[in-house]
Amino acid sequence: MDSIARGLAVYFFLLLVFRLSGKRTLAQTTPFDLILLLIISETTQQAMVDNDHSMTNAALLILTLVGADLLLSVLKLRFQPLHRLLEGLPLVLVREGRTLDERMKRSRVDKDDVLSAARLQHGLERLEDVRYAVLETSGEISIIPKR
Amino acid sequence: MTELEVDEDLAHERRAWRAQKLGWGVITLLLTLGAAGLLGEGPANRRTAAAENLSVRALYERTLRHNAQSELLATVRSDAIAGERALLTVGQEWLSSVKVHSVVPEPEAVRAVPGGMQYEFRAAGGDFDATFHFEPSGFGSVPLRLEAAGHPPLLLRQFILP
Repeated sequence: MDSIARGLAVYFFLLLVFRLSGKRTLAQTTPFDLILLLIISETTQQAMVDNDHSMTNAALLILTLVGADLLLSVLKLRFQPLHRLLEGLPLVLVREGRTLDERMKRSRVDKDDVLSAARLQHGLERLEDVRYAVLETSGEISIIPKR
Repeated sequence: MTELEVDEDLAHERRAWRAQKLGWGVITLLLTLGAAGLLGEGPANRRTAAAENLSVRALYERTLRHNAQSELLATVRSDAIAGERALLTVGQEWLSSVKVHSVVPEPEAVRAVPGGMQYEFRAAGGDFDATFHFEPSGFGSVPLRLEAAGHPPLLLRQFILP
C-alpha cells in the first residue's frame, strides 16, 4: 500500500510540475537537459523506493506508474476537457510568415527557435517562407512551408 | 489555400498561462521556505526548549523529513541528577514514530516505565548531555516528552514531512 501511495504521489507531482513549467521545458533535449532528466530520475527513484529494495516493491512501483499512465490515457480519450487540461493544445506561433509575438513570448519561444525548426524540417532560409509554425503539445515546433 | 486544421483555443491557452504563472509563484514560495529551513534541515529549523524548572533542555529540529536522519540533544541539569545517575524518560508516542539508531553516550540501562522508556546514564558531574540519533518513520505532528526523574516534563512537538 505504501509503495502504491508513494508511486502515485511521485507520478502526480511530476505531472503537475512539468505541466506548470510549460510546453517548452525539456522539449529540446540538449546535453544539459539530458543530464537534468537523469538527475530528476535519480532523485525521484530514491524517494519512491525508500528503503525497500525488494523485487516486490519494484514490481508494485512499476505497475503503479504504468497503471496510472494507462488510466490517464483512457480518461483523456473519454473526457476531452481532461485531455486539454493535461496535455494542453497546439498553438499557432507564425501565420503567413508573420510572428504572433504575444503567443511566442508567453510560450517562451523566440524567432531563432522557429527559424531553427524551419531549417531542420524543411531547409527553409527565411521566416517569410514559413506558412505556419505550430507549438505542438509535445513542446516541439512544427513547420508548414509556403508552397 | 486552405486554413490550417488545428485544435487551437486561445482562451484555454490564456488560462494555462495564468495557471503556469501561479505555479511558478508556488514553486518560488516552496523554494524560499526550503531555503529558510522551514521544510526541514538548516539553522532556522533548530529550536531549543526547556522544562518548566529547567531540569531538562532540548535542542531539536522543529520539522523533520520521513526517513532522513536527525538528532536530538537532551540536557539534564546537574541539580536533576541524583548521585552519578542521570535518568531521562522519553515519551512512547515519539519513540513509536522514530527509529532510534544510537544514543551517545550509551545508556547503562534502558527500562520501560509508564508512558515511555527511561534511559539511565552514568553522569560525570555538571549538566549531562545525551544525543539521540534517529530517523523519523511516521508522518505528521509527533509529541515529544522528555522528563528528568521526579521533575516536570518538557513537552514539545515535531512535525514529520513525507
